[in-house]
Parts: sequence; C-alpha cells; structure tokens
Amino acid sequence: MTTTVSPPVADSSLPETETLAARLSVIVKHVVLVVVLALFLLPLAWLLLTAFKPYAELFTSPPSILPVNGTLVNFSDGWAIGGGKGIGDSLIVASISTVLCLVLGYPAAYALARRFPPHGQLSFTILSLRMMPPIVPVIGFYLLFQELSLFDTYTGLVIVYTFMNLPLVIWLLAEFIRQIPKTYEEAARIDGAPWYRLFWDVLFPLSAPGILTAGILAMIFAWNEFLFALVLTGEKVITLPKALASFFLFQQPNWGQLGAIGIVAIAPLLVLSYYMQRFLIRSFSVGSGGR
Amino acid sequence: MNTIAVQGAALPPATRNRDTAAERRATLFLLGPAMTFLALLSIWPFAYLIYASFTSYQLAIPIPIEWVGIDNFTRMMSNPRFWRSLGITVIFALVAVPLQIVAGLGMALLLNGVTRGREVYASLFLIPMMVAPIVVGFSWNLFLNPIYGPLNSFLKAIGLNPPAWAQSPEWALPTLVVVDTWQWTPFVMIVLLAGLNSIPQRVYEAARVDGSTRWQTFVNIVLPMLFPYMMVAFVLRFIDSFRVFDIIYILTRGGPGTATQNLAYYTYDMGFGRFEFSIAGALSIIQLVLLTVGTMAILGFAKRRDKGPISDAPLPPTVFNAAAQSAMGAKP
Repeated sequence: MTTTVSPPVADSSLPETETLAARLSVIVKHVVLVVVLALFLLPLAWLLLTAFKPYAELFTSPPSILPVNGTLVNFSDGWAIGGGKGIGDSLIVASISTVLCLVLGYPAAYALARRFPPHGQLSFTILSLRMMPPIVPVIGFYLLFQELSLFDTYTGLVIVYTFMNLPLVIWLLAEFIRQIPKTYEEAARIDGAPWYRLFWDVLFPLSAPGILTAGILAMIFAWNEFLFALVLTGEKVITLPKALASFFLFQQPNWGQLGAIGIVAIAPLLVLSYYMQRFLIRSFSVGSGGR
Repeated sequence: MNTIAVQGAALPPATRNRDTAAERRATLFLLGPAMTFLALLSIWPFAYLIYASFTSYQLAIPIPIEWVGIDNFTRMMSNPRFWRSLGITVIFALVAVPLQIVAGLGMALLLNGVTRGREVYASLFLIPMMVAPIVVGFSWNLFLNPIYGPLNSFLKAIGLNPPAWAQSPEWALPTLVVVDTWQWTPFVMIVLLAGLNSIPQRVYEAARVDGSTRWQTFVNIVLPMLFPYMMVAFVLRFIDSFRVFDIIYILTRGGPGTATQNLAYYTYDMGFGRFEFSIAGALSIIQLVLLTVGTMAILGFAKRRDKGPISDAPLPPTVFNAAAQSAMGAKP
C-alpha cells in the first residue's frame, strides 16, 4: 500500500526510509528460505547424524533423532572395512585422469579458441560426446577392456574417466581462453615470439583460474562416477561409490559405517559448493566475462 | 585463422606465408593428441558395440558367433520388458524434468527475493547435485527406510499409515522421481536464477509505473524473459534423464519386479546381469538414437514455437547451452 503511494524515484534513492512492511517482508522471505532449506537438506542431515550413532542406536524404531551416545567408531570402522581403500582408489583415479584431461585438453582448447570459430562443427562434435549417457559406451568399453586386459586396472578406469571428462574440459577451457583479450598475444607476436611462447609464457598463466575450474569439475565427476567403476572394475580397483554400493549386497547394512563413509565422500564437495554456485551463475549469465 | 591473416598483413609476405604454414602445423600439434584420444576411444569401443549388437555374441555361452543382422533389434521390439523400460524412461523425462523446472522456478524466485545471503543460500541448495548420486541414493534409502527411517516414524506418529516407498510396487517409481527431482532441482534453480539476474531492474520499474500487478508482471514479462533459460534447463535435464541409473541401483535395483527398470538399468541388467551382450548392445544403440531424436525434436519445437527468444537470446556461449545453440544451427 505505502509503496504505491510514495513515488518510485524517492523509493529507490532513499533506502533508509524503507517501510516497516518492506522490512517485514524481507524477514518473512528469510524465514521461508531457512525452513525450505532445512526440509530440503533433511535426508543429508539424517545421514550426518547416523554416522555418529553407535550400532545399537541404528536399529531402534522409532529412531533417535540426535545420537544419544555419540561415537566416532563408525569412521574408523568404515575406513577399515573398505572406506580407506575406496578413498585411496578414488583419489588415484580422479587425480590422474584430471591431470591427463588438463594436459591433453589445454593445448586443444587453445587451438580451438584461437583458430576456430565458436560453436563450430568441431566444437559441437566434441561436446556431443559428453552428452552421451554412460550406459551407451560402457558395453563397448567392457568388451574392449577384456580384449586388452584393461579390465579391473587403474589404467583402464583412468582412460575411461579421461575420455568422459575431456570434452567438457576442452570446452570450458576454450570458452575461458576466448575471453582473454588477444592484445597480450599480439604484443608478444610483434616482439617476434614464436607460437609456443605465446601459448606457454603468455596465455597459460592468464588461464590459471579457468584451469582450476575445469580441473575441479573433472575431479568431481570422476570422484562421483559409478557406472563405469561398477562395470569395468572387479576386486582390485574399488572406488568410493563402488565400495558404498557393494555394502548394499547385505540385507542389513551397518548404516552407521556407511553413513561415515558417505559423509567423508561428500565432505570435499560441500567445501566446493560455494565456489560452484558462483561458477554456475556466471556461466549462465549474459556477458559472463563481465560479472 | 582470421586473426592470423589480419596480423600477418602487417608483416612482409614471405614471413606471412611461413607463419601460416607454421601456425597450421602448430594447430595440428596442439589439437592432435586430444582429438586422437577422443576419436580412438569413441570409435574403438563403438565398433565392439556394433559388432555385439549385430551378432549372437554372448560372453557366458561359448557358441560360435554369427552375424544375425537386425535380429537383436527385432527380438527386443517384441519384448514387453523393453517397452515397459522405455515407458519408465519417458516418465523420467516427461514427469521428473517438468517437476524440476517448476520447483526450480519456485526456488529461484524465492532466492531472487532476498539480496543478503543469497550466495550462501544458493550454495547450500546446491549440495544435492554436487553429492555423488550413490550417496544421494544411500541417504534416501536410509531416510525412507520403512522401519528405522525417520520419515515413516514421523508419519506413523501423526497417525498415518505410510507405504514402504522404494520397496512398494506402487510407490517405488514415484519415490525415484522425487529423489531425482530433489537432486536436480538445484541445477534448474541456478540456471533460472541467472535468468532472473539478467532481467534489468528498470523492466520491473517500468511495469510498476504502467500499473501492472506483480502477478501480471510475472506472467507477461518475467516468464517470457525466462523462457530461453527454461529451455536450456529442460534440454540439459532431458538429456541427463537418460542417465538415471545410480539411484535406481541403490534404492530399488530396478524392482520390485521390473517396476523401476528404465532403459539404462534394463541395458545394464541384460549386459552384466545376464551377459546378453548382443541384446544390451542393441539397447544401447536404441537409446542413443532415441536421445538424439528426442533432443532434436525438443529443440525444433522450441525454435518453431518461439523463434525470437531462443535463437536471438543473448545467452552466453557456455558449455551448457552451446550444445543447444549448435544443435539449432546457430551460425558461428
């Protein structure tokens, strides 16, 4: 009511004269957000609480909400029954494949960004590989890996994850490089620097934030991946998602230990969440370079 | 190539020619390893896939492998399980994805209403899509457990008689739809939040000066301006809906019976449950065709329905909508 009476110009130029109604509506919005958020994150909060419950408390009905006798034993037990192996294997496979993606992807992205038009046929072909659901190539990979003795090896899984993430990494880096002004390279070129100097000494340091983003994304996707790990590995290589899934073969899994492993599996991602929302908002915003 | 030619113009012709040849070699050198890797790893396994799907290839049974043509495809077409799994895949694409768009729009509008702490809220809302789908499935399995889970205990306490969710034949599929929606609504929210950010403040002010109500502003101005963003979200989620596998594996294993077997799970079950690689291979190829045709159809529909916003939308050339733009034939 009051906002319609007061002229809009005065309204926006004097924020301190905010009406009580406007202030109240902001408070209500925050309350609604907090409630929605709390309900929204309830399943994950429950996982967190479960990780601290001792065995006896897991199978009570109705369940206790907060752990009565909180314990950390699930974390050490979870580590011992396969969580530790899972974290190690996931780290190995995810980090090696990420490094490979960047090593193969950065030069390709540079070439794509500086020598080809954006959204060209080549870019689209590369990207469409990323769109393919993993179930489509997995059978071909399985048969190929049997033939090449790559089944259940770190090498095999690293190859597949590199294949899975490389299109995205190339794309992200190419988009990033396109936003770097060409003036730097032109200046270096006029000084007579050969192309590899432009690429390595001039552009590479400027691309560091893009490389970081692409690397983080590749790492997350490899860390979370399940289907390839399920099909292409056996007893030797057991990544974290596969380790977690394997416990569901038992009728009555120890939820506490699984919860502990699950929490450890998602903890690094929670840290990255803030960074990711900035990255995503920027990616989808108009004039993404300017924000 | 353009820039090279322009820059080269300032140099003597001899240097320019040598430069261009060297540049071309450099391009090949830079692009070569990645392209070779990608080409090798798309063609080689794909050759195996084609081979498997047109022969009587079975890993477990040592029968002589014969060329059977499209036999595997026709056999599958007459199998009701195939059609049921296709139906479940379609439900994910056409029920879960619109649900995510609606819920994501609601969340984006809610977030857009506040300025302070918006980024903190956004990053907290984003957690489900960052978490491994296996952990998502696991958390929900725990949360919905009919005996020890908190949800059913609560529902029983207030006097309801809740079903066994993932274990119940009627509720298993809706449960999976809810879990998928829960995980991916934040993604839609972020896309639409970016869309809302792109609407200048003066648009709202102009609408208010013109005396349009908040609802009218929303329907007549905000929604049309968000349309291209919704399309991007829809296409990306549609493509991803064919990937739904992990949560099914953890929550229902395709069951009870075959109640929650989508195409991905059915393919997995054929290939690695029964080692019927020929059938599984044929299923994979069918999925690829369906996904391609479906995406093209959606993009074609969007283009015809509303030529303006989609093709002329000032969307940034990010990885996420580049596919959409390229597929629609946006000229470089």
